Amino acid sequence: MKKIVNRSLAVTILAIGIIAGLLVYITRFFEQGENWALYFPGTGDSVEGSIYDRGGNLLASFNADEQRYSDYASIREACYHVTGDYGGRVGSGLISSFWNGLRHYDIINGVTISDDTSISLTVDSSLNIFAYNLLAGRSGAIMMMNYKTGEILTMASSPSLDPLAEEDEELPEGVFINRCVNATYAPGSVFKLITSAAAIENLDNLDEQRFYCDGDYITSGVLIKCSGEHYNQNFEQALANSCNVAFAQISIQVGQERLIEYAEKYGFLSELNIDYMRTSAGHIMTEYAGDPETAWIGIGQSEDLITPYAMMRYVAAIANGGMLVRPHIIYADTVTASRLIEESTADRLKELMINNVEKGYGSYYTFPDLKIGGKTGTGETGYYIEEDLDEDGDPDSLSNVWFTGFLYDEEHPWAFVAVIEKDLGGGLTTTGVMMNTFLHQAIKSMS
Amino acid sequence: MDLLTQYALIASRYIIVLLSLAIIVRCIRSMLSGAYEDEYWGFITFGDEEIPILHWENIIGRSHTSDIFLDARNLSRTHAALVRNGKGVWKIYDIFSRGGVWVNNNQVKAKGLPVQDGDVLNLGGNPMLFHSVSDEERAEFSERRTSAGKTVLPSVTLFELTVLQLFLLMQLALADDEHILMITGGFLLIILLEWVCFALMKAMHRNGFEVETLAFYLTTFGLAVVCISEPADLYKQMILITVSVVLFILLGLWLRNIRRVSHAVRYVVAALALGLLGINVAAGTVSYGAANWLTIGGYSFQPSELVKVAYVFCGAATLENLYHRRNLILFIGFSAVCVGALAVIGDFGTALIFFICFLIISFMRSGSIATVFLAVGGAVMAVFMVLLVRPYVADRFSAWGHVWEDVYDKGYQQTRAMSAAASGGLFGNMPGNGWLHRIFAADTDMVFALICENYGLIAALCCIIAILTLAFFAIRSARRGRSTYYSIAACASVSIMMVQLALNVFGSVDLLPFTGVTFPFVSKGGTSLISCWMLMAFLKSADTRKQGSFAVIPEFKRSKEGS
Repeated sequence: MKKIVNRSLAVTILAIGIIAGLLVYITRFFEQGENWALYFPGTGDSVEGSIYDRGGNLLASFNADEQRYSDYASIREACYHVTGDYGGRVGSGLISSFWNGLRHYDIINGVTISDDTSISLTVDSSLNIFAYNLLAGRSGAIMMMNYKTGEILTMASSPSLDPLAEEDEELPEGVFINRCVNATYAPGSVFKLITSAAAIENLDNLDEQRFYCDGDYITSGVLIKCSGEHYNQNFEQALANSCNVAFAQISIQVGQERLIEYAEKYGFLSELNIDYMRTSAGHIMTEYAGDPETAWIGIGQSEDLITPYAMMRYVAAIANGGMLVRPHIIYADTVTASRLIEESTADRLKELMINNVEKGYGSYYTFPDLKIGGKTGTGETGYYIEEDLDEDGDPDSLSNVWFTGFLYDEEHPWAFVAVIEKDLGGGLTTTGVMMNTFLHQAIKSMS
Repeated sequence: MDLLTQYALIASRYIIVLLSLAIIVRCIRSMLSGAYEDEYWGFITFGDEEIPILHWENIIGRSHTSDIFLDARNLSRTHAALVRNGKGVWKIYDIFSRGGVWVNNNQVKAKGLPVQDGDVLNLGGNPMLFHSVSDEERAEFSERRTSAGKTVLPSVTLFELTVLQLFLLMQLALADDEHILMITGGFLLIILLEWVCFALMKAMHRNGFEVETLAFYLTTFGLAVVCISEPADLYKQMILITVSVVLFILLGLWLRNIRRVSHAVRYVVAALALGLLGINVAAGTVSYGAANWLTIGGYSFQPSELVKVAYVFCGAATLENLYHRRNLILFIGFSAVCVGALAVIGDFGTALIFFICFLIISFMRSGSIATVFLAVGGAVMAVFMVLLVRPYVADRFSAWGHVWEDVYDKGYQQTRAMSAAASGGLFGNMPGNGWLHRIFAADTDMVFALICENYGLIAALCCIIAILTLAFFAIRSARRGRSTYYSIAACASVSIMMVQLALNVFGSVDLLPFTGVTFPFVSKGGTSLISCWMLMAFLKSADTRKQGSFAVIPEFKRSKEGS
């Protein structure tokens, strides 16, 4: 009897195994419960909500029984990255983030659901359609906001898809990425706006300095090439020329630490969420860089990566005297503003950007009838077209081309950014021209 | 909804959890820490030593694991078995001893010899006196033992359970107007059943009601699961609960008498079980990959669930049988046929349960002579398992451990289960707010998550702890069981439940492969409920506390109970 009973140890082992398993589960429950609970966007039955655009057009609505999108294919496609889909395939899509925003998690109560079930966006779907069409199938993004109110008016990303259309087996590359907020690009010369801010605030004799450019600059034995030969320039001219030789020197004077500090301070290295929408953080080299690499950092090459949204947000603050009205995509009655840039610095940058257009980009021809300031950028991608050779016999390089800027027009206080990936043209010829068309259309449709 | 109802509803979330905890704690205190003294059935006087006989079945020998341990020369490690049958007649058997056994100078052969009070036993030349305790003496001993339910009143625990049930009923009824009558009926039925059971126990002068309380506690959550997932099936569930409880009582009463589990009866039961499986193999209905259903007159049931009970019934054995090789061979044969039949049917989960149960019963039964057979039997079944695993279960194994990487296909159910379980937090979202019940098999394979979602992690853990409590109680009782039959059967029963529990819970939260077996008592699925209740009867038959279990006859005759 005793001998037999001693063997009930086997049962004890089984029970201990269960207890051990439970402990593992409970640990995971406490650690990952939130992720588990909120993982599936479409499972909160009592979650009801609808999303409207600026003009009151329905973008999406969902409840226990159905999940709807806009009735119009053009809106569905142009606003796809704003709304995302019910499968949650666009990481920052508002359907899933709004849905999840309606669901709150804490370990004690689990998931609770708020009653706030309808949101109106600040985005204008017709402008989005226009912007999306301007991108014309190229990979890229157009984004625009009102810097006085913080409202995001346009957020278009390409390539896109219609969530209700039957899908091809092979979808375009990165179709689920909202390139406005979740793609990071080498900024190229638009980064010079950040370098400039650091220079204005830290270099006492900035405006007395002259920068001579014969196309090349050598520092610590490393060659920094410029896009042209700009000869004798002051700081203002150097920015209008987007001169690498001048900015190499300025960057070295400012120093790597300050460049990082300013990029950080202006939000380029953080996740800057727009309401429910999660955006990606940018990047800058933080390991020690010598002079040549520091020069490249300030010029916007090196390892620099930023999102179009972070750039627009910065430019919005420049246009608004350094004050950033909180950018938002869900309509809000009152919006807070905070200082992002010193007022004098912002005003100086604003003047410089207006000067860029007037002196550098040919405002009358390129941007007729627009009171506009801006900056172009060409971020090198490392991609080439082998067959196309330029005058020197080098293959044409493909760049991410940028144009960012603002209108200084009381009626249209807008900041904007446009990026097109792997383009053969330059910031001005491709994105600048495109934005001129867009801004004229926007002024027409918004007035 | 008026304000008072709203407050009651909010409060009920926490009350349900608190009452669950209170019930579990009371049962644990009563079952696992309450006094549990040995029974005295006789004495062996050897020299100036007087050794008590604590069981109906005892090994006498020189081994420390002997029930009657004698440090004497010429005594084998396990020398003889001293066994009391249901009628109170003692017999001694020589179990392959070297020195031999004599009773009053008559040598004991394989069939054993009866011994009476005052007989002189001689084991390998060591004389000793046998004294059987009379009813009067036993009544005296019994005075010194603690009654079951003395420290923790069973009526109070049951009352707490009733309050819990009323709160569950309130939540469910408010969440589902359409089925309010059926829901109310179901809960009133279960409350009625538990109090009738309680009254029956009282009428039989029994006070051990913890096993029943825990079983009713779990069945209550099972009822709630049906209300949430398939209220149209409530009437079936009500019938099932009633049948389960009745069969539980009948089996418990049957097990009172050790003669009723003799060879002959067990052969009949084994034959019935095999017949049932045979019919299943021949005429089973395929449902979700396994042909483990039989449909008779519109009612479908799973024969394998009833075979589980038969398996325990036939697998456990009294001590004198444990030493017979033939007995073990038959058991291994029976097990092999059962697992084989389940393999043919394609019921992987149940086959696994049988296999682990087989290992546990064999481990508990086997002496040294049987080790070889055990290994052979184990290997044969392992082969069956492998054959079974290969074709369609391999798929489930492939997702195991990384279900989140495939949430729309292989990890579909597990990830939904984990998500829903987490969304309930510690206290649950209350019925009517969840979504998991829409997903296939939520009320069976993922029932742990369903409980978590609706009643919270704590309540779900209480359900698991309830089963663990039963398991530890079985281990505790096994030590004081009268016959190895009861001890082995009780341990086997709780093992089956724990294996099911582990496969169900850990399968749904990706700690084990997803096999699709039921959570004892809680999962929807009729036959499983019946088998769980019947397995509890084995546990009751091992509970030898004073006035503890209706499935155990009193230590002394009723006429002497006087007080």
